[in-house]
Amino acid sequence: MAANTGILRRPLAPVGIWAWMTTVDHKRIAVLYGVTAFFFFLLGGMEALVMRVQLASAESTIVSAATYNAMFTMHGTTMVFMVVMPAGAAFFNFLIPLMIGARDVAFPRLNAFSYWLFLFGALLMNFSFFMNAFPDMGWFGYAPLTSNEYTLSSSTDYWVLGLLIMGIGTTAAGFNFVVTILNMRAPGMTLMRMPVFVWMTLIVAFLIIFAFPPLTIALTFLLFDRFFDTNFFVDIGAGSDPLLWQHLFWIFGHPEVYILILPAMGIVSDVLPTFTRKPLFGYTMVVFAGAVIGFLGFGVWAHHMFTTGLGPWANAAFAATTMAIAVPTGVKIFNWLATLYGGSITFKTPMLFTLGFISMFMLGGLSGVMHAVVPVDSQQSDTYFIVAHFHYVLFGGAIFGINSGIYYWFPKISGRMLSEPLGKLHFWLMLIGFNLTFMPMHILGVIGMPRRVYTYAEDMGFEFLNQLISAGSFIIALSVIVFTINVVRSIRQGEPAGDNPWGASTLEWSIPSPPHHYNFAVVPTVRSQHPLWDENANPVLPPALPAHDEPVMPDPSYWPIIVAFAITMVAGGLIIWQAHAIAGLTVIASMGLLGMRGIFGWVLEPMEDEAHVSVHH
Amino acid sequence: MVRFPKSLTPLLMVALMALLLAVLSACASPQSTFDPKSDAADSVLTIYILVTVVASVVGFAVLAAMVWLIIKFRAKPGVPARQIHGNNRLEASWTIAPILVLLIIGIPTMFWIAGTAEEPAADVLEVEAVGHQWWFEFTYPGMGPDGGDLITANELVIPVGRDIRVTLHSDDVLHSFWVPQLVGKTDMIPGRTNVLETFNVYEPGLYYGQCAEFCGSAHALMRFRVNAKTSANFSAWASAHNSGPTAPEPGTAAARGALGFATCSGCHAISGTAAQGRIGPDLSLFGERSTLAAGVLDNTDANLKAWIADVRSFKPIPEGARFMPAFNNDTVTTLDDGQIADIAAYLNSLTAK
Amino acid sequence: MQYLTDVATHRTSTGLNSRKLLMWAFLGSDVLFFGTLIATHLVYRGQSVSGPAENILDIPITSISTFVLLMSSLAMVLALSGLQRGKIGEARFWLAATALLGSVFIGFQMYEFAEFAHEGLTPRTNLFGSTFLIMTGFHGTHVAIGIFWLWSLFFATFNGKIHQGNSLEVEIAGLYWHFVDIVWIVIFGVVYLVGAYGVEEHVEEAGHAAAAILGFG
Ligand code: HEA
Ligand code: HEA
Ligand code: HEC
Ligand code: CUA
Ligand SMILES: [Cu+2]
Repeated sequence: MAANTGILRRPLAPVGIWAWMTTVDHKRIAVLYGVTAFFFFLLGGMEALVMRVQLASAESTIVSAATYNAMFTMHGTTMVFMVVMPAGAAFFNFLIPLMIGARDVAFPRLNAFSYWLFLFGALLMNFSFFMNAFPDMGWFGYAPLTSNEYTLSSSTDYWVLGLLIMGIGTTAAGFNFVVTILNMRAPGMTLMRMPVFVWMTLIVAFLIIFAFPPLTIALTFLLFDRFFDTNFFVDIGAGSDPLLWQHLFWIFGHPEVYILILPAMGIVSDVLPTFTRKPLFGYTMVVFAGAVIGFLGFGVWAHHMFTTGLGPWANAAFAATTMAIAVPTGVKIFNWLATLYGGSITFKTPMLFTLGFISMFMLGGLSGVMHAVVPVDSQQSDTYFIVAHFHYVLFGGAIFGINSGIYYWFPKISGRMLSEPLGKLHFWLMLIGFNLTFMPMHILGVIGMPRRVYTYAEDMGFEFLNQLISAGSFIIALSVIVFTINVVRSIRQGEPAGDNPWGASTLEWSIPSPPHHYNFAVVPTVRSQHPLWDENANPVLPPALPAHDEPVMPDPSYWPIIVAFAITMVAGGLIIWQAHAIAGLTVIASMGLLGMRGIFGWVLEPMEDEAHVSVHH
Repeated sequence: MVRFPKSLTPLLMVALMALLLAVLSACASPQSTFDPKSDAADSVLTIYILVTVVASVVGFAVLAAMVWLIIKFRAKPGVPARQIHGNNRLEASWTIAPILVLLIIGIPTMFWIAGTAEEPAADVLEVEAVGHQWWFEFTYPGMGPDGGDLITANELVIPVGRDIRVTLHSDDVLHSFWVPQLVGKTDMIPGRTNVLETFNVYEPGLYYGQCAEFCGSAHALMRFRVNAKTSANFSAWASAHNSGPTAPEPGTAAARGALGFATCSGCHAISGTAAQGRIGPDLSLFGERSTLAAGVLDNTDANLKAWIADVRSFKPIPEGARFMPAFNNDTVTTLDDGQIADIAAYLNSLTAK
Repeated sequence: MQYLTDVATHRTSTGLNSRKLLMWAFLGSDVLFFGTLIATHLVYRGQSVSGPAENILDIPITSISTFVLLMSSLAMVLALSGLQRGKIGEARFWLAATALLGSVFIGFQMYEFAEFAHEGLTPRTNLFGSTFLIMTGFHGTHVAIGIFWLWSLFFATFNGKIHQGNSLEVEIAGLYWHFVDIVWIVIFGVVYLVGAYGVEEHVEEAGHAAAAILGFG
């Protein structure tokens, strides 16, 4: 009985808010991730629009410097950590078990725990807005601007603690997917038969578990500097070094950008075969190139520090490794193009976004290679040229890829098709708006506009291009509205999708849309890379099972959300402690106890509620 | 099916427009990196153009290939897709080709980096720049009175045709020293000494500089100017700087202002006078400067008065930061309009004549 | 029951139990965690401008505590082997021994920290204090969590939750414990010993070369 471990009755109802809060079903967790990511996309997008309104005219005073600085800091942090990463997690969660023929991830409750930590961390950070302490020191929080001495409010505390909490959740998700992919594959699903998306997820999961520890440590150092006066980044007299932060942050930060892009690369690698009606060209090379990118990604961090005076040796070495990354990335681009060759291409919305991804990401990659040229970077660094580069790879890359994935798998997730006309409108508006927004930024960089300036003088000649950019950003906003309408409309009255609307080849399309909560009635046996195309290898598709025969899935659990909540509140207690010691310590202590209780409850809780099991047997 | 030529038109238009704009605006900005005025900026531009051309060629080639492929292989009834899985020779060639392209940009990069280690000419002018939240201080070691330091702020005065080497420090957070037309940026880091690449300016003029590393609320307004003078004018400037101002005519506004400047001398220095504060910018020869407030305002009488009256109306200074008080309502020393006008007159009188 | 059976019968693609694999993944991540801490400490060796630094380390005392921790790993091996052979009493004894030896180690560390504080070295003193104490502090936290875990297992042998049939539980704890032990050996080697004996110069040289390349010089 649940009662023997819990304080609350174990929730078993399949619907209602409580069911979502306690769910451990990977498909529901995916939806939670996706909806949250979209919410933060709107938020981060609105922050961007505030910036664009401000910059639309020279010497504008629509928002204050403080507001503007908070906007780009939170825009960057939000888009990277609360949009693209959770959007990736949404796809991992929904697709990985389906693609490898599993019923769930290896650790369903840990999976829920990851989501709640992510959500609470993000909320904690954004809560600073209501405390009038929105972080405002840039998304990579360079020391010593983040120290108590130069940050006159608790804004940086929210940022540090929010990131730490999200980081723990993400790392846990990394473990989960490493184990899931390595261990939960259906019989016959050998590594080299896995869809490329699964491969990219595996690589991303490894990147996460190796790249997040340095970030965790950097944040911990900063936390100690801020709360306990240690000497890592600020007190030069005691040996501190502001550059230590930059090294630690970018040792994390560069692998992080591949964490952001590899899922999108996986998505397009699976979309392309479906809409060209032929297998991916050079599957092995695409997979291998992904691994090489991930590996090299750990050896290039100092290209973010070319202007810090590291000296000729470091600059030369990091320029070389950075350029080297163009090679495996090029391999991917060329293999995608070769997949088009000889194909029978249909231009459904997912395919349009995939083509958008390939072209726009490629342009962003090329400007990245320009940064790798040290002298050129000495002129480009910290200008709008950089801003152009990373929006081409992050928006033109990650966001286009994610959109492709949404249009592609929405039918599987919801059971309904998204509208094609609206989808195409969305695509073209976004493509045009995107280029209008970010293409002129290259020129702004060339003519010397620094980034992170809330205003610029009239005589600089920046105004016209900035107006174009601001106009473009509103076209993007319009495209997002079209997308929103499309989704809302389809959920209500979209055309039913059927099992395999695109005629795709991978396992997730062999089961009903939306899938049963147990995914596969019978675990399939896989005999090829394209099980649904290969007639002979077609896996048996058994009908849905009668209720009494359904596989029993892990039951919901409230421990993950409780533990995540307690951890977040301990962090909140630290912030309260700054203002009011006793109140803070009380919160920390009580929430610490709740967390401990939660961990015990979790460990002792059986995977399935016994009452539930007995219903079925 | 989508009809390609038509639907691509907007894209092409955007690209074309962008290209046109690039050409038009490259000359328009005083901070354009494509309008170099020193040997250092020139050498960067050469490699910059090389890299741009390489990247554009690769970019257009890949885009063109993609467009050709999607037009050529769009679904046609009765033409099934060819089931191709891969091709080792192709894989090898498109692994090697990028390597070759990278060598084209990589080798010049390495040579350029090696070049930075070269020693500058013997007559190099050494300057120390210190970044403060939110202004720049420049020190010329050994060029001041009695072999001491010559100190100025926010306008770096240098001779043309001579190698300039700037060492960089910071007094508080990170800043970055950048004069797009003269030299690429290098960061100013507390506890470290960085050396800017040596540069040699071609012609006299006023060049725009800007702090390029986010340094807090007024980062956008942390600018400066480089004033490149002929060698003779530079020497004249330095000696005028050192000899200090001639006492203003008694009874004039400037004379009253000189006395009133005692309010300011705790923070500001004017060489050759009793004012020796080092908290704010050195104001020697202030009348010679083209800007005020770290390159943000034109140095006019009206601006100067308004600045002294209330700095916060020009710069977003956070509460509690150590900065110049707003003298029209300062709790310690309030100055009335007349006093402010006097001080402004005094500061404007500080010229090399 | 199929989901559970999959897990319970250990029918996994790699043949490795999933929880064990999870522990391996975690330890892989932890390598980077301690790697970063140790690397930071080493790169900034000798850069503390004021206050006590390397010379404060007490090798003889720490050798003893290192030996104690090593012995705890041996005890851990014996505990697992006892359980696997169904000798529950043996398992209990060695589990307790492991936890106790771990506690002795923690005791040494607390003594060390107190001694340092006495001589004026706290995390606030200088960069050496900050990096050294946080590095070893995190290690100590790992040990403490391990001790907590070991006692939980110890008590669980009494109510039958831990038995020969699920010795995997102890095996996983053992993986963790041995890892934490190995990390200490590395810390003891490169932070303590290298500081104390002549190896210093060579390592320092290499370290400085690396530091110079990364621009820490
Ligand atoms: C999704 C995220 C993403 C991705 C994938 C990349 C990919 C790359 N990035 Fe980017 N980068 C960012 C996100 C990303 N970046 C962000 C967010 C920042 C700024 C952070 C901040 O300061 O706020 C940044 C900043 C940044 C800098 C620092 C600039 C500075 O601050 O001064 C540099 C410098 O080298 C760089 C380089 C590269 C390179 C070489 C790649 C390569 O991986 C690109 C490889 C791809 C290609 C090259 C195109 C395809 C290849 C071919 C068609 C083959 C043929 C090509 C050639 C032969 C050249 N990036
Ligand atoms: C994935 C990452 C990502 C994405 C998608 C974006 C998207 C956008 N970014 Fe991004 N940006 C970053 C990552 C990203 N950015 C990072 C990391 C930085 C660096 C931060 C730093 O320097 O610290 C940065 C910095 C940055 C700057 C530089 C600020 C500066 O240096 O001063 C600018 C300036 O224009 C900008 C603009 C935009 C715009 C206009 C969009 C647009 O594409 C946004 C599009 C979205 C919308 C417009 C939302 C639309 C929704 C609505 C309008 C609501 C409608 C309502 C309903 C439908 C209900 N960004
Ligand atoms: C508490 C210190 C302090 C006092 C007192 C002070 N200032 Fe300043 N002053 C500063 C600082 C700091 C700056 C740099 C501001 C900036 O440009 O961002 C500055 C800048 C200036 C500038 C612009 C300099 C330039 O190079 O652009 C002028 C002119 C100036 N002060 C005049 C005065 C006058 C006149 C007084 C007295 C009536 C005065 N200051 C008193 C600190 C002070
Ligand atoms: Cu100084 Cu930005
Ligand atoms: Cu990078």
